[in-house]
Amino acid sequence: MIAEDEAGPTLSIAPVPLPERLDTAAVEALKDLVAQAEAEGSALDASGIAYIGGLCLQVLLASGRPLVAPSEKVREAFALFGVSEFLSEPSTSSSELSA
Amino acid sequence: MDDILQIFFQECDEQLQELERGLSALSDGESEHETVNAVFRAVHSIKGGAASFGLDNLVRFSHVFENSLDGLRSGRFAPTHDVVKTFLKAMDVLSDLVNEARGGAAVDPTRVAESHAELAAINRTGGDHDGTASAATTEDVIPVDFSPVPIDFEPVTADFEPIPFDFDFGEEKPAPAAAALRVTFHPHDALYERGDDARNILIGLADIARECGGEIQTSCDWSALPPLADLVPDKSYLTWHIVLPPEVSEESTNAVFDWVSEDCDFSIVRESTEDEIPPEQDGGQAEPAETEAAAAPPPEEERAAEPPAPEPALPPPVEALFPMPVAAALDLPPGSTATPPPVTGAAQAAARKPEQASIRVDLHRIDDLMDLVGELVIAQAAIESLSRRTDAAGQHELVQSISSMQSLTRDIQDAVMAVRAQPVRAVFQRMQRVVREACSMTGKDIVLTLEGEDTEVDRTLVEKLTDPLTHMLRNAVDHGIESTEARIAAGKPAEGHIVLSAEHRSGRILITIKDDGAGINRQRVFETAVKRGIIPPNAVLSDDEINNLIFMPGFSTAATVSNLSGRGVGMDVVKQAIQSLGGRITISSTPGKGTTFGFSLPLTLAILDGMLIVAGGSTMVIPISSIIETMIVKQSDIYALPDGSNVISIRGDCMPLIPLATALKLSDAPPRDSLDASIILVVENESGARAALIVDEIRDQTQVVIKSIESNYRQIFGVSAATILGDGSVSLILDVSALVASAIGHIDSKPSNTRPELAA
Repeated sequence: MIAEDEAGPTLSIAPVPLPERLDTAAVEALKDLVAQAEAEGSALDASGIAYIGGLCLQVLLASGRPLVAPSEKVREAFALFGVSEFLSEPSTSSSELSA
Repeated sequence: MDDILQIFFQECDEQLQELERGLSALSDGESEHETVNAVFRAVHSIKGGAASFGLDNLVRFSHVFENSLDGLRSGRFAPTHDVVKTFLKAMDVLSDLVNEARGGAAVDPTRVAESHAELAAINRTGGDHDGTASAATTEDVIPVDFSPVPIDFEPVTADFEPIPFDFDFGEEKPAPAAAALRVTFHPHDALYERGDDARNILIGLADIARECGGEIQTSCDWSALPPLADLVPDKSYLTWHIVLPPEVSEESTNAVFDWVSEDCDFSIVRESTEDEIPPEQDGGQAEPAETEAAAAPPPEEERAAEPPAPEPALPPPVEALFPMPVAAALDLPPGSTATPPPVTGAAQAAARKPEQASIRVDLHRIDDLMDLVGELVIAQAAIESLSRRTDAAGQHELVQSISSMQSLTRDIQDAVMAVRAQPVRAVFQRMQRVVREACSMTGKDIVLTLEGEDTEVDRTLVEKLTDPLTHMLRNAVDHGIESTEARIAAGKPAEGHIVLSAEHRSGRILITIKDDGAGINRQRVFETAVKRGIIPPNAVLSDDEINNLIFMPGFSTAATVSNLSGRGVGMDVVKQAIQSLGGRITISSTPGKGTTFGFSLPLTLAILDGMLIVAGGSTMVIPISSIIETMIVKQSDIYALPDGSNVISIRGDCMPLIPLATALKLSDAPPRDSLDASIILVVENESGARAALIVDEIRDQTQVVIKSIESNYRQIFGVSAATILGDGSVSLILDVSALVASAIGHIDSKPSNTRPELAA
């Protein structure tokens, strides 16, 4: 039941798996998903993501939910967007982000 | 697409001319960097354009060509005679390939392969580091602008022997600027609404950075990002700061934003800001982005063509014309061969279409024309208002106004002519190739020098000059210049010289082809003409007439029929072609020194300056260009000849005196007994022979519009064309050369059967 490795201290249930394509069309669904994860206090499972667009990136950044097991694609995309640090700080909160 | 393809081919023509010019300069020993660069750019531009149209043959060959030129550019080898020769040969192949792509004759693959191999050989001799050094530079200078192309290259080896491709696309690296480029970028909501993504812009920037061998440093400003609960999903909150390496140019960076400039805020500033970059950027941003882009399943199906990212590295003309859908290529899985099939299909379809005639005109010429038309409108309004006035002063002003309109009309005519005028360079440079090919067939070593390539003539003439000049130059190579042994034996330099020149001379264009060969062997020409039955054995001909025999149909002195000439069709075809353009051919030849052929052509085929004269009751036009002088004769200068004709001595020169009305069989009145006080026009034909025409009256000097009499009626002796005068009457334009030739014929009293031919 416990997510492997750096799942984070707050995790009590399985991380919410995110869809493969987080493009502009997926942003509404992603927001709901992330809001739900926030409510449940669960992390986000980024292992299946192959594509992240700018809008979905905003949602992920705003949520501050930790991304569990980011795929190589996710790492690349975050590097491209210049937000790599977001991945390496699993417990960042939105308040810290907006600082 | 067809239009763009047409523009591409026009560009190709220009680039090929540029190439020819550059290579000629190289062969003349001008190996300046700028010359080499110009040559390189020409080939590079052709390759770039061809790549975007999927013209594979062209791309393949120009790529190899370009690689070799790059060796020259980087100083790996010097532009020796042999190297330049190989390049010239490659240029001929390249121009044939362009022609093939345009729908012309297919190029013999063995020729391509041969030139291909020669180029590769040059490149190899340039140093063993060829494969390493340039390949190494290439690895970091990723040829993004040609990304569709490398895929095409893979199957190449089927046609050609394997050449180590190093993918050196020879990107001209921008001169390193001192400071890095700092780009700030904030997408609007609209950017996402359009289906684009900030990500594409970042990828584009990463690409141009990598092209220059660097990486981008990106930092994201998310200060505007609200908490998730307040976040509107399709609103854009983020701003990016990107630092590009100093080598990246502003233009290429700007080009990344070409398609999105409306939908985002961005600024590009060159400043040293590296220190401001958050150090936690662990530097790996650039290549992962590319990898991801390459492997990501196409997220941009419908917007594939939008990010013009890799485009900017192309040279400007091509860049402007052929934005490539590179994003599509980026998103393709590596190794996919599905490059741009729709483009290729369209291009090939277009290639089969016959080319449309169009010309490129300097904008200022069009502007001049427009100004004049504006003035014409004003002048017309002035005349209209003046014509309503009835007083005498109004009449006077009207006359003035009309005469100023006349000069305006002439200016407009000149301006239109200027629009149609083109330098003869295009034709002349093609002749270099003709001579090269003829030399390689005959085994002679001949240098063609071009002079006056900037001389402008009407474009119809430019086009029609190609064939006659080709014939003449082949003839000069084949017959004019002796074999190397014979030249050395005669004490001449082994290398033959031909000068092709063009100049304006009194309203006509004079093209001369001068060789330093053996000259015309008149004795042999005469004997051959007798043998062929062209002239009777007892004919008495002047040197000039013997020279002219080589233009007779069926005449050829070549002992053997060679590939080039000797079939006896060339020269008379040349003569007909030139005559159909209203031109004349002159020959002057000095035994042992060489032969000079001169074409004298009218600048335009539409309008000429003429003198209106009256003879035998008819008003006729004589081209001003052939009139030397006008005078009133004295009886004492006239001498009668036994055959009833007269000669006149003008300042010691004797020339036949031709009563024009009689010569044209117009006069019903008997010839006057005394020619005293007659008005004469001294006229000259192209070979310099003069005659004096007796006319009744000289009426005016005017410009006339030439109407063909042959196409409306039939050919008439002594008449070259017709025109319509201001009063609506039809007037004949006289063919002075024919009249002079016929008069000289009379005086020489040579056998009558040769006369009509020589008189033409």
